[in-house]
Amino acid sequence: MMFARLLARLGDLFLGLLRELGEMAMLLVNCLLWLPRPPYRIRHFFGQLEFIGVRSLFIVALTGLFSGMVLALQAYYGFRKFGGESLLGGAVALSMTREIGPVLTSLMVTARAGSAMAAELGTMRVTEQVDALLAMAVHPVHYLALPRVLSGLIMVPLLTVVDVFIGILGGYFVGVMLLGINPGTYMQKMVEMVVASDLYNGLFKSMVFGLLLALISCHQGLKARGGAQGVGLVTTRAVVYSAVAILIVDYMLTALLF
Amino acid sequence: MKAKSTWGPEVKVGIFVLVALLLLAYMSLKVGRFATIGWRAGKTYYAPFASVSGLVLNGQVEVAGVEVGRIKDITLKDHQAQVELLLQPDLELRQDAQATIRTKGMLGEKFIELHPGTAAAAPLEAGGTITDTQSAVEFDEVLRRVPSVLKDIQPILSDVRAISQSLQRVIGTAEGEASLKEMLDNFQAASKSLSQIAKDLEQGRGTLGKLLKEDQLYRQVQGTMTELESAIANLNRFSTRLAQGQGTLGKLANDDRLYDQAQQAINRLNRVAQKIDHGEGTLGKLVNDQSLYDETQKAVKNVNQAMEGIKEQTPITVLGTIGATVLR
Amino acid sequence: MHLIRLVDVHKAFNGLRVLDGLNLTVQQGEITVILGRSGTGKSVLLKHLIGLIRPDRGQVLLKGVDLARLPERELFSVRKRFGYLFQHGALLDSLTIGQNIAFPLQEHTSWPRSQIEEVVTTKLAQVSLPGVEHKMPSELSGGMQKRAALARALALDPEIMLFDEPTTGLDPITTTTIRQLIAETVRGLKLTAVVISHDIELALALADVIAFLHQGKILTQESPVSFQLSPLPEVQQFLKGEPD
Repeated sequence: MMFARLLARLGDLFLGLLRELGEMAMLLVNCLLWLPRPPYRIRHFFGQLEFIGVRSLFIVALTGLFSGMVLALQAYYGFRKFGGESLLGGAVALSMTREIGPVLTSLMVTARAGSAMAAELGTMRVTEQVDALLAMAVHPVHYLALPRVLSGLIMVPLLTVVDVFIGILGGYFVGVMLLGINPGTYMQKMVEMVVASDLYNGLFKSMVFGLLLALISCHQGLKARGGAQGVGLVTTRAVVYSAVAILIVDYMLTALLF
Repeated sequence: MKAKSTWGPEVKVGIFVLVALLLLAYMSLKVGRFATIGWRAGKTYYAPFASVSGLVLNGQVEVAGVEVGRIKDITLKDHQAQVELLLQPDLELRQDAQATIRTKGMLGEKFIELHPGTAAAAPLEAGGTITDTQSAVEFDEVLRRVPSVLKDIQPILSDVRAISQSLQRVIGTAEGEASLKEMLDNFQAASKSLSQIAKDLEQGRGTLGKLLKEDQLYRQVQGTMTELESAIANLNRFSTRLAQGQGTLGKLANDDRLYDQAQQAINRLNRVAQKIDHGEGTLGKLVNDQSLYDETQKAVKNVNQAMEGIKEQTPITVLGTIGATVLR
Repeated sequence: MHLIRLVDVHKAFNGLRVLDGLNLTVQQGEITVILGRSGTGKSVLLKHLIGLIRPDRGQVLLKGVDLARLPERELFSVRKRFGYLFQHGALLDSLTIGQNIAFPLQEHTSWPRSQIEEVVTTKLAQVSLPGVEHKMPSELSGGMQKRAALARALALDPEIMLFDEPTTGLDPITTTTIRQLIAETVRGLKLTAVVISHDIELALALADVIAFLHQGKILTQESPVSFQLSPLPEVQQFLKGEPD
């Protein structure tokens, strides 16, 4: 009996996951269907671009700086064991472009903007603002989800560029100024080891992550039920699901791309 | 609708997007080697290689370490790898241009090194084929060849060992010591007989020409005699002084036996000096061992040949060989 | 002639039957007030009228067209003919009052900005809220929010107005103001209106027809006078406010 109940529970979980995935896929499809339809609400869209992009700039730059610095420090510790300190620049730049930049930027945007999106849409949902939109013959996917998903898709890669650049600067600072690696060697090895596709694949990843986190956050927000507690629940879910999805998709993309 | 502030979201987003795109462009240029854009309209050349293992599309082409082009295409043609090179338009190649596949560092990426050729040769038009090519020596290929190289080197090594053993026998062992001693005894005997001659000479110079027929020997003896004369003169002076000064010593000085011994020793020294003066070559000849001499000569020749062969391989071969030998 | 007819509408949420074979008729040009106790599914019923919720079974007929079967895109054009006043106003809190009222106009008309601004000013005056265009919804009191929301609902000059508990949570004076405002606008503009409420006074003062919703069904649908005299025990209990 216990075993059967356990199996049923597992089945429920799996079905729930499938439903979530299906709903998200539907949301994405809806976004795509609404994308070409007027009105285009340029100003509204720019508001979202600013919210997700410009206002995340500081936190992304900060995390980029410190992740680059700590990468340099850690890599130096490893490289010193076989006298490969000169590879530090390349190692930092490779890690930043391929992995740390896209993932950390996406996670920071999830924490800052994804949670806010879920909370905002959740609140709109429970205060009937979403119904009000529908009653005014405006589709919430068109008005609420589409600009956010699009902004995520556009802004997360751009934020990643900033993150990577500042991370490399941070790595340079630690490697050259603090650990005393020759600046010429540092730059040379970096340029030598990193190829353009490292950068572009990283940016492609962050585009996917941006899409994912915006999609998940909007989906969760629009699903909110009840009151403040419901909003809190979907906000937490939005962050947790986005972070998990980013890391899982990161592995799959890395396995596919590189 | 009115903007909430003078700096609307459009402006902020615009600035941010611009900055991010500039950073992206900067980083792309840094890592992208976009310098090649200008050569899209460059000249194309072909180069057949026996093997292009490890060579990649868009790989570098260098002249004297300066990048001058890219590898545009690699195809198979007549069981050979046909590499299409896209080179800077201002680079001029000659008919005797050479292309070599080389490796950056020991395990680095492969690239093609070009020698544009000598001015004396006719120019090579764009679209032409560089015939003088050399494929890269693969590290694993080198390792694969190590055993055969070792087989070649084996006889050399045993020759060298034979030589050193012979030399050791001559100089090092008790036997060698004995033969050296024998050699010295011979010297002694020779000088003894010489001193006998010298004694005879002292008694009468006139008969010397008749007694010794060989001119050379005569001249030698003559030289020796001159020196002996002065030495004897010195001794004479010394013995005269002794005879005048001290009776017993004078007696001793007049003792024939002592005189003979001194003379003998002087002769002996002279003989050795002469030999060295004539400089009769190697140790092998000194000991009259012709076969040892020949063997040494042969071995040295072999080593030279082997060295010549090794020189044709890349240094890495030698490295591998030495490595393998050491490990053996 | 009836504008809206609901025929045998069933709706359940998570196995809980909210509407259970409901029938309702709304005549053109009349104010129909649907009375019922809290939690009887009045809001659910109202949302069926513009297809925000689709019934599990039954028909929602608007001039003979079944909204329950209508594809979403056509439903959107139907909704433009409705004005919906939500219980708490449901103003978009990221926009100013002016932007909120302009919102449906920007979405569904291609009017120039000046014309839209003019309409916004007119509608705000209509609901006695002049000069609050640049305030945010959170800066307004509940009653003012509701009036601003009414202005927004009227922006596209709808044929049918739907009111969800228009007086709930307001003080008696504001309640009276809102009641008068609804009466004035609906009568003045000759609209059809459906009001859901548990406010008996409002119903008696405003309604042409009162429908009583009980356990997922409309028990009775009659004029306020005959409603008060209804022999149904559920209606009498509701009117007298007797506990179960």
